[in-house]
Amino acid sequence: MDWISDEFLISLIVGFNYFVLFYFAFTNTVYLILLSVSAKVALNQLFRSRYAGYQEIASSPLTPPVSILVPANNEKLTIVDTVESLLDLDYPIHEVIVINDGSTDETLETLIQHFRLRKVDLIYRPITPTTPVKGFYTSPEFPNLMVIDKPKSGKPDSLNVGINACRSPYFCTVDADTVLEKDALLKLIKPILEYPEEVVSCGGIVRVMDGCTVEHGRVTKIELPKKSILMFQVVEYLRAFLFGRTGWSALNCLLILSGAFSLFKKKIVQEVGGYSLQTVTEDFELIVRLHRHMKEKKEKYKILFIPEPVSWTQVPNRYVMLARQRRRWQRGLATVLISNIRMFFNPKYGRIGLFAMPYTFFIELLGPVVELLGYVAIPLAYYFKILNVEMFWLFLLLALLYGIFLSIGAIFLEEITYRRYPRWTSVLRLMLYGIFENLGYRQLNAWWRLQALFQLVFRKDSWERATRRRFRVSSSTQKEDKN
Amino acid sequence: MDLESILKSAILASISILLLIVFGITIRRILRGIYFSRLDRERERLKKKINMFLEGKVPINSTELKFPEKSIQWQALEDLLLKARESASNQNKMRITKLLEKLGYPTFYQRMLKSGNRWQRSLAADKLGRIGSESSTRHLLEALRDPEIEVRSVALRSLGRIPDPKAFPLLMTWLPRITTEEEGVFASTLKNTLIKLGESVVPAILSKMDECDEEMQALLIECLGEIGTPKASQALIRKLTHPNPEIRAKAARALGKIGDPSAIPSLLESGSDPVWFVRLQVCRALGRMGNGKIIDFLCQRLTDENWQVRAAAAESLRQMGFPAFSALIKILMEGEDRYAREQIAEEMQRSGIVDELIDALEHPENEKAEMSKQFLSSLVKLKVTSLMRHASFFHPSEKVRAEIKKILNYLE
Repeated sequence: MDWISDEFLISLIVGFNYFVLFYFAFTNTVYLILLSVSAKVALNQLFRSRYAGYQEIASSPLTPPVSILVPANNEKLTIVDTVESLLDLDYPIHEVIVINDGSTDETLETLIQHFRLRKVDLIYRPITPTTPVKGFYTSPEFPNLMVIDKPKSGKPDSLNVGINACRSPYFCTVDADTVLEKDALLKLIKPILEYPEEVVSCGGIVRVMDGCTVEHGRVTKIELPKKSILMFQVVEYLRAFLFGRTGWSALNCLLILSGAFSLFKKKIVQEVGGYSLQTVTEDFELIVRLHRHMKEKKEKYKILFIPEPVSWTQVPNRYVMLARQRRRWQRGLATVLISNIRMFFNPKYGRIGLFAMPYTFFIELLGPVVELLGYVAIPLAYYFKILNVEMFWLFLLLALLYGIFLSIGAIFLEEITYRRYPRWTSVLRLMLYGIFENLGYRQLNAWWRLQALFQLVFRKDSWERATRRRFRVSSSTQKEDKN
Repeated sequence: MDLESILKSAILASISILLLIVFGITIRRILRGIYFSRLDRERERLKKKINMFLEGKVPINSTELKFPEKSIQWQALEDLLLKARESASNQNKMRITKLLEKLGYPTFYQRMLKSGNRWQRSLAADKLGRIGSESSTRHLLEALRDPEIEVRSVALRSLGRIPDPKAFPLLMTWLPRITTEEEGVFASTLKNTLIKLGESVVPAILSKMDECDEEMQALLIECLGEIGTPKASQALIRKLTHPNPEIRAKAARALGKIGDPSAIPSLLESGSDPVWFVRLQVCRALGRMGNGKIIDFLCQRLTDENWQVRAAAAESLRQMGFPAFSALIKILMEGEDRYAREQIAEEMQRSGIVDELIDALEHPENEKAEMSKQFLSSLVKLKVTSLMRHASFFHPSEKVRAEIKKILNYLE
């Protein structure tokens, strides 16, 4: 082992340090660009919202019908609220299709009882192949609601069942623990009305519902949650959506739209074969496949994120659950990127192939690995007395400050645009958590992501499921329910 | 400059920016708080006066409501008047518009249409539409030449809100060249605007339609269908033989929406169009017209080679109600195409007609009760029994429950 000399190790560490410096500079430059682009887009949106003409869309006979697909597996506690909020949306023609994915907690029975549904014998055309359907339930009282019962086969398969069964040219996916604001769909359809040929998909913002009050499937009072794990996620969601996705969308490089609230052109999704059953992040996989398909067809298209339409969702409230969710996301990210590796640096796929995919691979996927190597390199550098301690502390401080700047920047964007948290205490708490999330929470996230990569390498990729909680309802609603 | 000083500068810059953001948020919150509380107070104060005005208690030339431009009172008054106008009766809408004219709002926004800022111009165009003053038509038409598509689009939408007959001929001169716009934004706004303008714009559309390119023709045909006037029928019937199938399909759809019976013979001829989506639109159109003569045609289409055409025909027959039921029963009982039969069964269940037929089992008119029995029996043959099984247990009428049990037992 003579070749592993001290000199070799030292040059390796020094080389790695330069690499980290470059990596840090590159990542943060991209973030800065994204933040600037997002700020511009958000402000444009804000100005536009003053004359958006949503009433025209609501009353126009030309607004296309939309089918809302809600896959549900053991969602008894939240499903009625979700469906009520969807049925009551401010949108001219829409149908709600709940796909019961083999629930064992009486989700189906709850729906049947609440909406007085009856089994009907409908024809099922599996244009995208799926597992067989057990039954269809409708009610003349709620003509735009249909529940499909099927054996458990996972969310992507359930969504494919919904796509096969829906009758509208566009479908919108909504998670069963998510409620939409009344005008959310109206706002989400706007880009499709403006560019009907080009827009193949668009998504709205997903905000954290925990802490808010929900009445009859509608968020009526917006407040921040009390638990720190939830607060961290509020800040994280604001950052991910308000400057991450807004920025990528403006650059036409958006690789992910949240399955919790996205709208798709049905024809194109059917052309690509629907949702893939081979991944745990089916929403991300579908968007990448749509990009690939459209680029290969050489057709002009848009996949957009717009921050105005709002959906509210529950997030994990225990670290064990959060860790599972993050590991699942990271494994999904890895499998999708690896299965589309031929798109990397391939000019045929334009900005997606040349920039977005490699960026996601090297920064989002391998970020935790670089971080881990950093934790190894620093003690080694110290051991070999090549660590400039002052420089190290300066660098660490800058990294922390930059992380805080990005979080606070997202809160600032929220504050100057949508301002959903009107209380002074809320904005103060958001800023505090914007600072604190960089001191432990972010590192914890990196650790979970790293674990996911290990799981992937060692094939321990079992599904890790979240548990549902009842929405927080106001006391008046609770009284009504009891009566 | 060495790395250390770069890092130090970057740290200082980060801290400064962070402090600036925090300071910015605080100042903005304070200023907005002050502004909105004042605005709310003014709105509250003016609300009573507006209500009095709407009830006719304050004369229209009242100087009490005259405030300096851009002042907080001016803003509050505008908010209240525009909001009241949205839900007001036509008479009050006109009164509010006149009041806004007297108070100088349209003139202010007409001036703003010439601003250098595109957001301001778009906002002005929107406000002019919401104010609804005919004096703004000329300005909005001029705004259609704005270099920004955003401004043009909002101006066009606002023209639809002001149904000013003077605007139509000028608007129509724009039609042939609107298609050259790259963005679809304008086209979709144009459609909505023309539909809002309604019947009065139809002669102008008809005179210009043939001069437009095919894309614009398709758009105008759609508008004619949504406006729904029989004045357009003849022009649309001619389009049923257009070489472009897209236009033929749109014309069939529009004719269905208009519902003019004089179009039925031409639509029946188009029922054998070589292109499937033209046939599909013909089926839907004939279904909407609800004429007894077309039942046979729709029944034939139930065996069309394309499933979407078959589905459209079944849906059309369902919409026609009882007159079509006997034909449907015949198909359900004797039809060879299982798919068509299933299609009818599906539509009947989803629409609640099966429930109606179940209830009709105890109909005082024997003929209808018998028809229901036949229909339900044919559904059992297709194994479409879920709703009947449910009713056999839960229907409130004992007689109906017994009848259904008989149908189920007898045929199974």
